[in-house]
Amino acid sequence: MNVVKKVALIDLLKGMSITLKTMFKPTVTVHYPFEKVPPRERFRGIHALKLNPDGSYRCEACYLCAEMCPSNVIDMEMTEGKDGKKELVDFTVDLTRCLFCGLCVEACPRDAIVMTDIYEFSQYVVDKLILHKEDLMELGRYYQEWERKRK
Amino acid sequence: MINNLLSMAFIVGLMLVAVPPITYLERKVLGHMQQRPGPMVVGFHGILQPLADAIKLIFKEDIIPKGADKLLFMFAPSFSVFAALLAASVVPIGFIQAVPMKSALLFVMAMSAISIYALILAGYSSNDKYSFLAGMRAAAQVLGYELPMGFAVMAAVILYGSFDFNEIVKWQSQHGWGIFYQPIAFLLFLFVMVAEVGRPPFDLPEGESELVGGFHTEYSGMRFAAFFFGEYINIIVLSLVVSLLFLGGWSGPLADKYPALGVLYHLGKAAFFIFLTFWLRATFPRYRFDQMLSIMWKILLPISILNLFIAAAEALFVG
Amino acid sequence: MREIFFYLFAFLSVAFAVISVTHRNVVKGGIALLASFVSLGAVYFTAGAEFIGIVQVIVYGGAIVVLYLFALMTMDLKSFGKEPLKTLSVAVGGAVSLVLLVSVLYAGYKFYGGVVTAGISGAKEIALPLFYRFLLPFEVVSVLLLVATVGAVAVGRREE
Repeated sequence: MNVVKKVALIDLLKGMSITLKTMFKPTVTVHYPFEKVPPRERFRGIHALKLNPDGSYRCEACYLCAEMCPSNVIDMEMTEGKDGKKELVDFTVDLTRCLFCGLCVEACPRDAIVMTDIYEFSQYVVDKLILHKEDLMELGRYYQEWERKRK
Repeated sequence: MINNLLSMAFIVGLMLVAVPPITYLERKVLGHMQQRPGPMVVGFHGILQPLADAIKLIFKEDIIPKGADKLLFMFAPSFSVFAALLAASVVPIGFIQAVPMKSALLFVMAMSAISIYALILAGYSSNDKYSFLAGMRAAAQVLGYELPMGFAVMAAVILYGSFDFNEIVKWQSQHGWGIFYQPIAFLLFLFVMVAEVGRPPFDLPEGESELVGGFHTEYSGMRFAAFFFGEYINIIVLSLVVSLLFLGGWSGPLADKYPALGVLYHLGKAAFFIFLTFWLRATFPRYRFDQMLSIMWKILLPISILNLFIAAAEALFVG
Repeated sequence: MREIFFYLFAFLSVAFAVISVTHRNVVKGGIALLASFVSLGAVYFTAGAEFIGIVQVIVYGGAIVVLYLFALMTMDLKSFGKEPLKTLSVAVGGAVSLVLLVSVLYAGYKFYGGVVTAGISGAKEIALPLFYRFLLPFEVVSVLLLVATVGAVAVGRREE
């Protein structure tokens, strides 16, 4: 039986019939830059800072996220405001080092830092990968809109 | 004379013009066999992809590595195209016959035997371990497939009694296709044809999984493209030859009345074999070096020698 | 036209043969040998012996030089170039080639003035003398080659 199989090239023909059949099956490719797979609901993309309804920052500059971060991504600067409250001067997220683990989000007691579903953030200049307060605010608006839509 | 020159121009033109679409079709077929669409971006369904490739290859920097044997390094790719085109010149397509030759079949074999030097020289002259190993593999491979190929062709030649393609086709139009008389020789020829053009599963000199790029590791730009021109022209020529030898070439219904129809028949048959090389590439993994040698020397060679006797007996009864 | 090509390829053949002997890089020597063989095949073509020309290219160009190159590539090529010429090997090689040269010249002298008949272009014209008239020498040579093959295998086999 084995000899017959070998002489008649049965195995080879079987393989070839499979490839031929596959040729007429529909393709499964997603043409990435033209078509995109929507990210999962809990996808961890780049960071954003949420805002209060009145437009002020939620972040209280408690440094918990910066403490939690394993790669030292987050850095912030704060001063004492006029009313004695802490006030955020700058909040930087260095995406060149970030590993998107989401620990900062877990740590935040005010639900201020969140992660969006944006995964396309390549830049030609490294400096642009360091997000500042304004960028994060912009992203926060995007996130809140997305959150509203999801609900 | 003028007829011959026209035919020559046609054949050379066909070979050079057909290569880019064939690379496109190959990528399409391979893609669909792996459930992906292949080139899609440039033009409708990526149809302009070969053009884009050509532009890219022309404008790429031409690199000659340090320590390379410059003369041989520059000579090797052109040798590949040159040998393939010489082989193409003696293969008739229907009534289009560039160089009528009595021993045309042998001439094709001679040129295919010579064309392997392009790989060996490229491997030797690149001053690179991987290329060198690929050159060695090419040399061992040519020693492996030459003999079975010779015997497979000889079996057909014994049956037809001639090396001349015209005679071969005439014999087949009288007695029926050669594949019915010589199925073993046909299969053998298919096997060694794949090895000869260095296509999977016998693409050992290329071996990108273990030898980077094989013999063309150090090549770039048009020199790199020249190797592929040579390879694809070789595929076309051998597909034409195998359809001449075993599938009756340009003979077929109404081909006597309308010679142009014969040309179409012949090209259609050859197209099937070109498709077959794509198909094999999509289906089979590469054979290991020792497996390739043992297939060639221990299986195909004895079978092809035994097949000679069958051919001789058939020639006695039929011819 | 034909004669021009005849002399051109004859000259090329001799020139490449000289290069193949004198070049210090053995692989390049092998390639020159290939070029010499192929030009010799072209010489046969111009003389009207199509079949022999093609067989020359297949057998010598396609198989034998590949084998040579394969063997040469497995050796340490760099040590080859530095090795000085040995008087003995040069003398023996010179003597053998002198004998060959004399015999070739003698054959040419005997044939001088003869006209090549164009009737040797096909396989039949080669096969008939080879397998009928000179069958015995042919078979003896093949036995000799078989002996050489067996000897090579015996020498090359590792002790177990």
